Parts: sequence; C-alpha cells; structure tokens
Amino acid sequence: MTSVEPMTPRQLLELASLDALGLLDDVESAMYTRSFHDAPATVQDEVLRLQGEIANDLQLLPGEEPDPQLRERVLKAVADALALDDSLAPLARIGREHRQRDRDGSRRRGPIRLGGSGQFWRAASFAMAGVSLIMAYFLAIGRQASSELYDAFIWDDTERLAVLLTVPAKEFLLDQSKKINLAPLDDNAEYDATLYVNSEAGRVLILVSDLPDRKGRGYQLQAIAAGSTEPTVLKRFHSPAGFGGVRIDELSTTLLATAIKWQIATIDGTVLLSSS
Amino acid sequence: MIQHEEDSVLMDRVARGEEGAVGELYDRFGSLVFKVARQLLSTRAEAEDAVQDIFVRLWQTADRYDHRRAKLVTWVMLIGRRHLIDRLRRNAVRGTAGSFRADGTSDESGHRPERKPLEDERNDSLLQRIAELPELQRVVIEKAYLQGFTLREVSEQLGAPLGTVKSALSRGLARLRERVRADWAV
Repeated sequence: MTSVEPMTPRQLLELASLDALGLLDDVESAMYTRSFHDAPATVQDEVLRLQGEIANDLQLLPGEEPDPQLRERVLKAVADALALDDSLAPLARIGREHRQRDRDGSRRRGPIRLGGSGQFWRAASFAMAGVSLIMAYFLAIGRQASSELYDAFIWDDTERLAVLLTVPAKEFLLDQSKKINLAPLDDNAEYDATLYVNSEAGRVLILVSDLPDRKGRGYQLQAIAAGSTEPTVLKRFHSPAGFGGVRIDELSTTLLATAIKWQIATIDGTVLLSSS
Repeated sequence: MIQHEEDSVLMDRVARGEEGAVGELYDRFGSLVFKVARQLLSTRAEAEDAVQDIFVRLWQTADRYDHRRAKLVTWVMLIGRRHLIDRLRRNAVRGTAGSFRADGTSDESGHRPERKPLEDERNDSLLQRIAELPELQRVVIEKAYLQGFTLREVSEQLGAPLGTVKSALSRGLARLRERVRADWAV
C-alpha cells in the first residue's frame, strides 16, 4: 500500500469537526486516525477537546425529544440482536477479539475467553484445522515454487516474488491474528478463502483455494467498516492457481479494527466470497 | 476514575451485552442520537427506527472503542452519522425520500421532498443562519451535513476541488455554531 504524508497539526485541527461528524470517507478517516496517533500530545488533546465539544453541541440540532418508550425499544432491539448472536455455534465466534486490561491497566486485545470443556475442544479442533490449512499452504508453495518463481523472475514481478520468497503464514498462525472464513455467495461454487487479520500490525494473509483464473485481471480484498454499508477496497491481488496465499501489509489499522464484513470481489466489484 | 476510563469500562460492559450498560449508554446519548436522526430523516418514526439500529450497531462495535482515539460522545456520533448517511443513500436509491434543502425546495431530481416538520424555534434559527452563510459554505453544509452526500460527491457536483469543499464545510460549521450559539446565549 502506498504511504502518504500524514496530516499536519493544522489539518488535523481544521478537519476535526468533519471527522467528529462522520463526514470524512473511510480512507480519509483512516488517514486522519493515523495522523492523529502520530501527532504531538498537545495536538491530540486539542482535537479530542474540539471533537467532544462538537459532538455534544446541541445548538445545531432539532429541539425534539424522543418518546420515553424509545428507550425500551432500543433495549429490546439490542437484546434481540444479542440473542441472535448467542444462537451461533461457538466456532463461528472464535477469533472475535475482546478488549482486556493488562495488569498495568493498559488495554490490549486478546482472544475470547472460552468457558466449559465442550467449547475448549471445539476450539482446539478448529485451531488444528487452521494448522492443517497452513501446512497445506506450505506444501502447495513447495510444489509450485520453482515454476512460479521463474515466471515472477522473468517478468520482474517483484510483488509476486515477495509473496513466494517470504514465509508469511507462520507469523499469522502464531500472532494475534483473527481468522475469518469467507463463504462463496454462489452455493455451487467450489472456491474458498480464509483471512488472517492482524489489525494492530495492519496486515492480512489471504488463503485461497481454486479461485477462477481471470487471465491477469485479478481480485480485490474489500472490507465494510462499522457504521457503513459501502465496501472499501484494501488491495487488489492476483490469485495463485489452485491453493495458495497472498500477504498484504501496511493496511489501515483503523479500517482493519472496525471492519465488520470482509469480501473478495472481482475488479469490477462483483462479490464472490463474503464473511457472515 | 476519570471520565474516559469510565467510558472504556462502560463500553466493555456494552460489548458483553449487559442490559444495564446498554441502558446507561442510551440514557447518556439517546436524546442526542435521536436529534441527529431527526435532523437528517424525514419522519419521527424513521428517526426512531434509526436510533434502534444505531444502538445495535454501537453494541456490535463496542469492543472497538478506544478512549485514546476519541471521546465516547464522538464515537457515538461517528457511528450514528455513518448509519444515517447510509440510510439516506438507501432511501435515495429506492426513491422513498427526496433530499432536503434548507429553503424547503426540491432536490435536483425534481421530486418534492417529504416535509420535515422542523417547527421549533431552534430549527428556524438554524435554517436562517444556514441561509445567511457565504454561498459555498451554505451549499456544502446543505449537501453534506443535511443531505448526507459524501464530500467527494459534493466536490463532483459543484466542480470544486475536494480540499476547497472540506475547508468550506469546516469553516461553515464553525461559523454556524458561533452564530447559533450567539442566538441562544442568555
């Protein structure tokens, strides 16, 4: 991903209101967040103060108050959504990150705590399946490596070379990556994909199986951020033949952390696979 | 415990689905979210539906709230406005609601918008102040802040550079807040 100049303190302050009101698009918002974290503490404090003031400012809003009954409706809606979520098999929720507090009181991400031996064994078998997939990836690369490396070398495809010559999968297996299964929208399709997302490091490993050969036209990984329905394209890539992996680095950590849906689509935007 | 730590604890509890925590979140921000929804959506019923959806979204994303990045009120407004803008776009695609202009006239498509009953005195003051802004600031605020167009869309519609649109919106909102606050100062 191409790096861009961070916003200056002046730009951060000028755009603080637009960011607070959700008026920046996803890419700009991610850039704003990244620049915010790089800014001096005094600038950060001023941005937080401004944004808090703006968000709390009722002067620009209608004077109508909600009906008292709306509170109960909201609580019921959240309870219903929670009940629906609870009805999912534990395997479907493995990998969701919950914030935990370290002993020093700082916040960090960590895996969900599982309760009960049944859940533990389901989680263990799921993790084993993940290991098997990774091993298959290494084997596939081994068989294909010589011809693909030669092609990448001949055509001076440095991106492809970087994928083939590194050993990306092991890092994703051992670190705090979240595993996300993507299912084809077409029930009859035989292709498949799994993502390992490390939002703190800003990287994703895509493992794909049997995506159709698009004669160089490629695919794109896209994500839908929380509060939005429009996908943001994270990276375009060429799928390896058969089974293999694509590693993507230097992605927006904000977008990776707030994404609620992941998709693999063709370049023209036709979604082939999606997370639930 | 200082406020932002309390906010983090609250959102932790919301993420776990504690009804009491969701209730607290609504008690703090429900009115604000409703007012924003009411500003952008045509009817009270639609605004109430949107508020429900927004709080479900806030629960879904509670584990992603980072007090170092934003105050909780900012996070709530961000999630809320994004949902409302998506809703406006869906309505526009389906043709169920026209876009709203500060002067009450119809949008570019020629469809008369559903009347927004912004009768109260504060809203009249707001609309008056918007109409008094410099042309570019007025148009950008109407399109982006009231009608839910993205800044890129506004830039394309006006044929103005994106940076110009952002500056106009930022300065326009700042001027609007000053003037409206002056109107309501005791």
